[in-house]
Amino acid sequence: MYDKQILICAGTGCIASGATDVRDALEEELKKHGLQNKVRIILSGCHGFCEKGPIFIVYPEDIFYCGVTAEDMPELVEEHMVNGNTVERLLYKDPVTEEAVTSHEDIPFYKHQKRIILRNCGVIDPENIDEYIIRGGYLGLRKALNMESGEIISNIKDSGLRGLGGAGFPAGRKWETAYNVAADKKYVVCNADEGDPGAFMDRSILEGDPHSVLEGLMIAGKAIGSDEAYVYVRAEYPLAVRRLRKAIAQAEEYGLIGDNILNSGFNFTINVKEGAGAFVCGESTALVMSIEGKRGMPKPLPRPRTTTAGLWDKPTLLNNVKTLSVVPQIINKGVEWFTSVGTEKCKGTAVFALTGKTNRSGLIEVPMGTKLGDIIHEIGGGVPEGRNFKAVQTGGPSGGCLPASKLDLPVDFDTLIEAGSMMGSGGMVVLDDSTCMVDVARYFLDFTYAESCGQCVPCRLGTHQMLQILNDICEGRGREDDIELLLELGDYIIKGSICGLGKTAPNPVLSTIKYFREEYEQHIREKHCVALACKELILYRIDQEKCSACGRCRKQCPAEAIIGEKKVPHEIDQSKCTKCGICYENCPEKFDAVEIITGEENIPALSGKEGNE
Amino acid sequence: MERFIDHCCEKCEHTKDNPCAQFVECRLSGPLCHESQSCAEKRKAIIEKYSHSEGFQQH
Repeated sequence: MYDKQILICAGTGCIASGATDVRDALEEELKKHGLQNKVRIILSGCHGFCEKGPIFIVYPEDIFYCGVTAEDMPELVEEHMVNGNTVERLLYKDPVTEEAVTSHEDIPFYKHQKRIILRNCGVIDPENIDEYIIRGGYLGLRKALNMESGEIISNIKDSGLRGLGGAGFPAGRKWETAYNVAADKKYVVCNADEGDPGAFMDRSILEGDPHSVLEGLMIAGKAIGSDEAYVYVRAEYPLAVRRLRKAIAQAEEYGLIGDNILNSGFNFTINVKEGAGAFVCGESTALVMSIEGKRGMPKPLPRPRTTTAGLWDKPTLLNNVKTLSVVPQIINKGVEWFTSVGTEKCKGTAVFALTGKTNRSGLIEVPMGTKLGDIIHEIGGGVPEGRNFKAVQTGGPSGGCLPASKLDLPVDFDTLIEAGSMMGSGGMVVLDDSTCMVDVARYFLDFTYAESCGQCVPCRLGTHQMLQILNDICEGRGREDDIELLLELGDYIIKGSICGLGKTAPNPVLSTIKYFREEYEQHIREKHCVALACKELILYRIDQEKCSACGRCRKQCPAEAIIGEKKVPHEIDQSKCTKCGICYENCPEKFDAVEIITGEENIPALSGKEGNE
Repeated sequence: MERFIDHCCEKCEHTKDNPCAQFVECRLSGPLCHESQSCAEKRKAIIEKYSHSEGFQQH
């Protein structure tokens, strides 16, 4: 038995931060001290706190080290493993309280979470099926194999589980529909085509707890009468794909996938299909087309539901990674256990990739109904000092931006949609007052425009037109009627597009107009960007009276746009300035001589700039 | 018995082609088809080896 076990996060984020180098250096140091057989190293999936990676936890004492490097290993082994002392400098220091925290359970980022879907992520070695079994893995399948289809479906219906890919459709009803369609062949498909910018919930589950998804697929298969599944996962998630394939191979070796599973007479196979990374392939009919080897495009309307005629025209049950991964726990622990968490209409938990301008960011899980503000302040630690909260963007490119007045809203599918945003698959980006809301809308629309499959006119041309208008507004060419035009176009796109991508594409624009209309108006009427973010509407200027001619800005300017010499206050040559902001950042605080100005009253050149291009 | 798939003794017959219905429960609290302190200890050893923290086995 081991004296200590060291858990190193080996999710994609921590690997990028050097987790495997840390592992190699640790192995070497342990050998040097003759501890290689007394200390076990576990490479786990994602802990969620990626910004602090690589994460390194020592058990049984539960000491949480973060941001460790290979160079730290000699000291860590000598001090902690040999001498039994905690290495203070590698402990987590909270940016809000400024206190060092030893146990990960006391870190505010983790303390306020409830981990059901992510319960194994960062806890087990995802490449070891035995660890999954010890944590209760495959007990749900075992139970399901002794249940009739109707009983399994009743459990899922009674649990109130809703599709966690974003739509929030009741999972049990979907399962029931797929079950009720008579067919000689049915499929279950796991949608792991996670495409929202900044979202990594599904990837982390596949990397950190792949067996939970496989078990969920098998229970779904047993429920609807299917013997074959596909996991549609992005090829750009190589670690997730590798661990998924390894998990399938292990489950097959154990007789948990294949023929006559656990002597029940139930047969099930699971295939992996790697997608090429098109955002539209997250849409159910496009995903089905892609698996079939065709170009991934939504099927034209009218079209049958995939539960009736999906993959190769057979009834197909399509669920998201998170939805499937929680199913085994619902079957194993029971409906009452699951319904004890969440709200009246939304049971269970929600997983978010909390990013943007917060003190703490990463992958989080909270009960449905948790207030937006609690997520941002208690888990995220609020906006860093010196800035103010402005908005939170939820739901990725299909979602919207909500202002501070909405922070008391409970997070669930229905409430966020009513407020003009959506939960989506779980992206949550916090924005501060340095963010221009018109520019944010432009960023997301640029994404959906580029990802449109081009099949239907409202989406293909509508998003293009909206993007052109947003470009004009951000570049000082906005016209008085542009806001109304954006609203009108948004309405057409929502009504006329054939799939969810198009129908939700205008959301970031519509929600920012709804809550931040004055910013649009300022851009159009005054050529004024309050966040000083739109490059075409700002200028950098050096206050001659404040400038001490220290030369720091001149030396740092990559465009050589700063004119000046010793004892002569500097100036910016606007014809060369690229507005990178390096002069502003480098001007010593005591002089504060570089300023950013905006608006046509300050920048005469902006006057008369009008007309859509 | 290093892994759960390994047989604890010749009495265990679970294989992919000859599956045991109680395989999962058997690995957690078995053996279930025969009585053997030694076989129980082998399972316990695997569980303890991987249970790095308090509450690891809670399911």
